[in-house]
Amino acid sequence: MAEFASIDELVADDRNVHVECSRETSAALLAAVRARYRTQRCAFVVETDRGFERDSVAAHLRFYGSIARSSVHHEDAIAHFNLRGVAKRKMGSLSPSALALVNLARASLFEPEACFLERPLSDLDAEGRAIALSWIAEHMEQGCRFITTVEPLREALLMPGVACWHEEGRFIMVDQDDDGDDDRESAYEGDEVRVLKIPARTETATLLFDPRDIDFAESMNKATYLVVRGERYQTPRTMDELEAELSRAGFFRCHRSFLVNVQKVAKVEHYTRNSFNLTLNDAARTSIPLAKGRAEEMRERYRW
Amino acid sequence: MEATLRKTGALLGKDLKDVVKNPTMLVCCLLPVGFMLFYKNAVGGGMEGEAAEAFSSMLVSWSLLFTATMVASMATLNAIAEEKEKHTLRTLMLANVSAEQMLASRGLVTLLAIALVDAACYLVIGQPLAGLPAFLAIGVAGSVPIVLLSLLLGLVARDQMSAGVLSMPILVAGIAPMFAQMVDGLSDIAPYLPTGGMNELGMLLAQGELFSSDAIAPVATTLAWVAVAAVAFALLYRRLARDN
Repeated sequence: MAEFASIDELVADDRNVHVECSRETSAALLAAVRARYRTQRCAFVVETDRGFERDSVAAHLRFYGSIARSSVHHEDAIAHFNLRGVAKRKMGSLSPSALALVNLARASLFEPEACFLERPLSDLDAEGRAIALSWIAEHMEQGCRFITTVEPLREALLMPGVACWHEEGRFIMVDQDDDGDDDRESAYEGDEVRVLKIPARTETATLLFDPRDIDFAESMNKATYLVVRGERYQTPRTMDELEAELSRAGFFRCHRSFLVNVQKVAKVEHYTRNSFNLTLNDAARTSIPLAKGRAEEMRERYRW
Repeated sequence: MEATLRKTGALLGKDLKDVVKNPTMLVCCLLPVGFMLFYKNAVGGGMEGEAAEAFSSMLVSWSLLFTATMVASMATLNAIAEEKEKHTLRTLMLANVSAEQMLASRGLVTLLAIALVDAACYLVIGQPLAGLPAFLAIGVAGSVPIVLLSLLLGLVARDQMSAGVLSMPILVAGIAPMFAQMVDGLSDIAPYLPTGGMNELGMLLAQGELFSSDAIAPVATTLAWVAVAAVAFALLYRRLARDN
């Protein structure tokens, strides 16, 4: 498994990296990024950024536009991040989702060559997430290097670049699965009735889920989880076993680490030529990654 | 240099607006004016002749002490502590704003606020307008040590609660000259306190004796405190300029 052996090695690399890690590791990464990009235009967004509570959003962004001496006008940032509705609101009264977008808008004013973002997608709703991911993807293509810290790992996989998790000082990379060249069995054919229930374990019981209730399955840290109505349940099945069982129930392996119930997919989003996500119609409007090698196969299979 | 001026200018604009927008800061700026109104009308209202003049000259020096201590402790010490508590200081530092730029902005805004509050107090007391420029010069120059010490204590404070505790020595030392005639032994020390020189100069101004040899000692005391505070500030601010 590919990995970065240390924070220094990760920061010295030039790729865009998204790390699932603790707050302590995130703080250490922030310090390392600041040290490496000291002489370049940088933008930082950390979890504690709340802005001056008595300032309006427009005044807050105007102030940071002056600090950054930006060629991006703060009004353009407001428009780009869809903040017109809250431009006159006080920073202290913003919802977490709006505040997260204001923080990204502030980062955009710095026209950064390197950008460190702490949990940029955590507080965003589906619309906000699409705006944020689109901005990140665009700036990556323009050459800005992004280092983000996230929780959970799924958010790292939503962004273009290398996703990894932190374990005992090392940063282990997730297989990105861009080729989509696995040998997969053909879809189930036939109309005989077969019982299809997927087991998941809790501390005191084994639950049996109807595939129609499962939103998606994901593998993380060598374990496989089923996500049902926003709750996560560990299953003894491997992803390959789940794929074999569930493909006839309308599931699609959209990423090496994800198997999605296609009936639950509300939207396929693509921010750049190489960056795709699926947005589900569950309560949280969850986004999950669609590997670029599998996007074409999905389009052909479901004739979208 | 251009970047420093631009960032400091942006910070000045923000900090100036905050003096008006922050209710606590606004109240602290209005309190000295309120005190002067109260003392002039409630205490000095019935006085006439020499007693009224003596009381008025006392109010001149009191207004300088009230303004310097209240505005400095609130517009610097408490404001920096609030920035730390609410993490806006961290956001500024990550936006490449230096401690020097932030402290320069806070210091200048505080001195400007002190000048405005001093002017309002002077008008309320009803002293001759001709003395206003000299009064403002005494008020601003005499407040510099208190402002610099408040900036340092602001860097020490972790949050607004600790700022409240740390502002006590500033308040006590700042207004101590007021009580010099009431507390035994304090009258010997008071002229040498950070605001002692300013207090004496205020009295001399009100008595029309500012440009006399009596002003030499308080001017020297004030300049000495400015120098001491500036040296302490230069030596300590880098060590103390840390976010939580």
